[in-house]
This record gives sequence, C-alpha cells and structure tokens, in this order.
Amino acid sequence: MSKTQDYKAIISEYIKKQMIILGPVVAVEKARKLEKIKLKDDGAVTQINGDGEEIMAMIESEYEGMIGSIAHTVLLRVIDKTSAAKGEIENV
Amino acid sequence: MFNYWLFASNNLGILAIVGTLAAIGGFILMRNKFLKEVNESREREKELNKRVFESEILREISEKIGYSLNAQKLVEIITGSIGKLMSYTSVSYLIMGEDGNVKFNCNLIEAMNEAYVQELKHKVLASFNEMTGEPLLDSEVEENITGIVLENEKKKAEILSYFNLPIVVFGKVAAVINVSSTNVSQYNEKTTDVLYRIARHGSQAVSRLLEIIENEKAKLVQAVESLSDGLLMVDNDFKVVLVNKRLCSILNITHSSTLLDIVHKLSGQLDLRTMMEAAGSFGDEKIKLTEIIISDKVLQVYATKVADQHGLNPMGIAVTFHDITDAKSLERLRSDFTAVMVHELRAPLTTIKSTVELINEDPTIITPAELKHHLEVVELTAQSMLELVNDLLDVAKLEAGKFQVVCESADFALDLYERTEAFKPVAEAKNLKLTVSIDDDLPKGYYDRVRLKQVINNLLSNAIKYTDSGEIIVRAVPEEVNSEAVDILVSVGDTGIGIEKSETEKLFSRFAQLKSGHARAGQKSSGLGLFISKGIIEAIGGKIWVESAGAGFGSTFYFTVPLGKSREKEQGEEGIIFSTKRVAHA
Repeated sequence: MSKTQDYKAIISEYIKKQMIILGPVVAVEKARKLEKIKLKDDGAVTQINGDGEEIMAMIESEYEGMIGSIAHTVLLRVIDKTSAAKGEIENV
Repeated sequence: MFNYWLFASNNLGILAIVGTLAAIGGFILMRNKFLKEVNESREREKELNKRVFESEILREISEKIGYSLNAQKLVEIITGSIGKLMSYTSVSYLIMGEDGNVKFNCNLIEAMNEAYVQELKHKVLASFNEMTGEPLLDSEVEENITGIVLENEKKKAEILSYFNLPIVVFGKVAAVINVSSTNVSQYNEKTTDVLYRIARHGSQAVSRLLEIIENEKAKLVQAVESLSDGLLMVDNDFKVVLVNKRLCSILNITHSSTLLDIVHKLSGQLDLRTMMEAAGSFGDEKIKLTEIIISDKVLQVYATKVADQHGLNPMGIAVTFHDITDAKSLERLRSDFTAVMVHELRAPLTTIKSTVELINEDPTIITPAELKHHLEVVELTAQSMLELVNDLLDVAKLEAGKFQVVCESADFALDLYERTEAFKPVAEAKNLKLTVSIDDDLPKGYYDRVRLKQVINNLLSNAIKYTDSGEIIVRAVPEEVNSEAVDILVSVGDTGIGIEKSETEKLFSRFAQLKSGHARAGQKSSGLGLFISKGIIEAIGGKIWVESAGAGFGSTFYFTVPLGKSREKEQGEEGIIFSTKRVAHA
C-alpha cells in the first residue's frame, strides 16, 4: 500500500469516528471544507490532493476547533489502530 | 420614397423589439439583484441572530462562573437555549456525575416511542465511547426521560437528522449533548457552528474554574496531610470523605479505608459512630471525648459538625485525633523528677535526723571521736543537700530566663589547671589517670569565672563518676579559623561507660537521667549538672556538646569559651552581665 493510500485510510477512518462523535452531517461537512480532499457521504476519502500528513493535520485542526484536544487523542488512536492493522497484514 | 418608408418602418420595428427585450432584461436583472439583496439580508439577519444567541449564552456562562459553574450547569444552559436557535424533536445528554455515575437525560418535545429513546441513547453513548476509548456499557448508564414515551407499536418515527455536542473539561469528556429531529436535513455545519463555539468556550470556562478549585483543593489537602493530628471527615451519610496521612499512621489504615474499618480499629476504646451522631446533633461546639490509647499512643478525640460557608447546612462531621503521647510522657517525667528530687532531699534529711537523734539519745556515752565523726556526716550530708538545692535554684532561674553570668577577661588556662588539680585526688582514689593538656599560647577567655568553674567541676566529676578504669584527659586549645584564634576549645574525655548516639541530645535536658536511664546505682546525682552547664556555656556565648563512639567506648564533652581580647574591645574592661534568654528549656 502506498503512503497516500495509508493516509487515505487513516483520514477516512478518522472522519468516520468523527461522524459517530459529532453526527454524520456535521462531521462530513466539516471535512469537506478542506479543498484538498474529496469524500463520500459515508466519510470515505476518495481523493487526496497534496501531502497526506499535512492534510491529516489540517483535518485534525478543524475537529480540534470543535471538540478540543480530544480530536488529537482520537486521531492517535486511529493511527495506532491503522498501523497495527497494516503491520498484521504485512506480517501475513 | 416607398423604399425609404419601408426601411424606416422596419428599423422602427427592430428598435421596438430591441427596446422591449432590453426592458425585459433590465427587469430580470433588477429582480435578480433585488432577490439577491433580500437573500443577503436574510443571511445577515440569521447571522445576527446567531451572534445575539451566542453572546446571550456566553453572558449566562460568564455570570455562572462568578459563583459555581460545572459541566452539569453548562449542559443545562446550552440545552435550555437550543430552542431559540433551531427546532428539534428531542434534546438529550449523557453526563459523568461527580459521584462517578453516568447519567442519560432525555427531553422529548413530542411523544416518541421507546425505540426512538433507545436509538438516541445508543448514538450519544457511541459518541462518548469513541472519545474516551473506554467503552461504557448500556447497563452502566442511568436513564432519566422527560416527556411522553409511547409503546413501540404506537408511533414509529426515526431519527432523520442529529448532531452531538461534546463538552470536554480538562481534556476529559464530561458530557455529550445530542440534538435530534424526525425531519430530514435539519442540521448542518453552518447552523450548528455557533453551538460548537459556545460549547468550547463554556468547556474552557469550566476547565479554568475547575483548575482554580483543584489548586485550592490541593493546597487544602497538603495542609491536611501535613497536620500532626489525625483527621477523619465523613459526609451526612457517614461516608468517609477524608482520612489524612497521620490518622492512617496512627490507626494503621489506608486512605481508602471505610468508616467500618475505622470503627473496627477503635472498637473497645471508642464508639465512634455514636460520638459522630452526637456531634451532628450539637451546635457549633466541639465534643471532646475521653482520652484513648491506640498502639501505645495516647489520643484526645474531638468531633465537630462541619457546615457550609454560611453555617446553615450541615455537610458532615470532622473528627480529630490529637496525639498527646509526648505531653503525657513529659507530664510523667515531671512527676518522676519531683519524686526523685524529693527522695534526694529526704534521704540526707533522714541521715541528719537519725544522726542527731543518736547524739541526743545519750550524749554522755559518745566519745569525742565518735561525736566528730557524726558531726562530719551531718556536715557532708547538709553540703550535698545544699548543692542539690543550689542546682534546683539554678534550674529555676534558667527556666525563668533569669540566670545571670558576670563575664570578665580572665586566664582560662589557670582556672582550668586549678580545677583539674583539685580533682586529681578523687581520680587517684578510683585508680584513674587524670591528664591535663593546656596549649602554651592559650589566649585569655571572656567568661564568668565562678560559673565556668562550676561547669568544669560538673564535667570532671561526671567523667570520674562514670569511669571505672582508664583515664580522663582534659585539653584546652585555641580554635582557629584562617590561622586566627576565634575561641578556646575545651574537651574532657574519658574511657567510661560512653553514650549511645540517640541519647546524646537528651543528655543536656532537665530530665536527662530520667530519659536516658543514665543514673546508676550508687551514683548520687540530681542529674541537673549538664542542663545547668549548657545554660552557663550558652549564656557566656559558647557551645557545649558531647561525642561518643557508643555505650562502653567512653565519651568526650566539648565546650567553647569566647576569647577575652575581642570581647574586651567590644565591651571595655568592665565585667558584663549576660542573662540567659537563649537557654533552651528541657
């Protein structure tokens, strides 16, 4: 899996978590404010235009403006989970 | 001509059409512009309403900060105001209570069925769990529903639009507010952004307030933990609120002990529960209980009712355990001291009385030699009584801060030599070697000659008294700093019974013998000599201390005498009187 794909997976998962936290419409609309990503209504990211890490930081900042430092905690949890899942796949 | 008219009429027709078209176009443009302005005006009005709403809520939050704002109040403010901004079917929230319980409160505007309520609860719980990462079970959450809940068959309605508003205090999720509607597309990022701003601002305000409270609480906890008294506090339901470190140590319990554990530890000594109940029914005064003994400690127990800042509402009971073990020991020492002193005075008095009675019984049969011996006994005994009474008087003066020394510049080497020579026969009588080593260039000292002789006498007599074999070495040298004499250092060392390190401090106290058990059978002494010596040395501006390698390894007493030269310069040649303000009491 490429780095962009990794970031797409992490950001998608992160948005889906925020949809549970904030509600689907609010979370998706907030993410759509960023022009560098395209996403479906279910939160799945279809396109990333630019540096994945930078976009991830931007989207985290958007959610941080709504729920504070918890947004960062949730992102770290998503990264951990995604990295662990990726490690398991690569080890198979 | 005809052609001209034809041309002209054609052009006029075109012009009329163009004019009409221009007029229609102008109208459309004007209409669009008007509609755009109307829309913009509506948007501005909406935005203005949102700003007014935001400032109203923030003002309410700011007002609450003045006295008491917590997550619960913040949630109540927000949920109570949402109706001014948007329509909804239900507003509900999940909140962490101060008691650690999680509560789900749901306010239904319309009558909804049970499935709707459970879906709400599920959504808000899912939001909470995603944020904390520590999933809460549905069964762990208490429910409180306001509104009409119908049976599932009666009204089947789904949540078609909703959003969650988390309240985060101190980086922890304190609550999640859920606003739901049975209408589709009711809420979006634009309509809800003001609520997120309010929630963030409110969360920060609560966090700041909590931080202040936590800091104050930390100060209070530290103060309570550093108390030398044990402290127990219970609430109105007799649930333990606080047990300080000292009480844990006294009762050998932990901070998390229950009232039952504490009652159990005190059983047989104190009926704690009854005492607390009595304190709760009393006014403001403390209830003092009889002293109790726990683990060899004597404790005085007090119970007091704790009320709020206005003193109106009872908040619990505080019980203090005041450790009076040391005070009791001192009281016992004082009592023992009096008994010893009375005995010390009574014994020689008995000797004097019986000797005089013996003489008086039949003076004619007593030979002159026997009479001389009897009178010598009376004189010696009276002398020892006088010394004891003098010691007691000195102690009384020292304790009252009225002990005075008259200092003058004098040849300390001479005085020390004279005193040690006087003790040589006593040492020889015990087969002890008494060595004196005085520095040839010993400077003059500034001291009370009579009182310092008393100190030397005391140290030498002690050294001889507590040494059975070996030697006693007396030294006097100038103590130097940067090759310049600062005072005279005197030492009296012996090869006697020695002193344990833990006993050295007690040795100079009034109750030295009673505390250390230093008195030995056959060694008559008031035990006040070192206490008085310390008072004298400190009064002349010196220091006194003892060093010993331990019991059985002998001991060396040191004291310093201020130099005569420096004091003379300061005070002139006249003898100066110093009082004993600095003398520490036993």
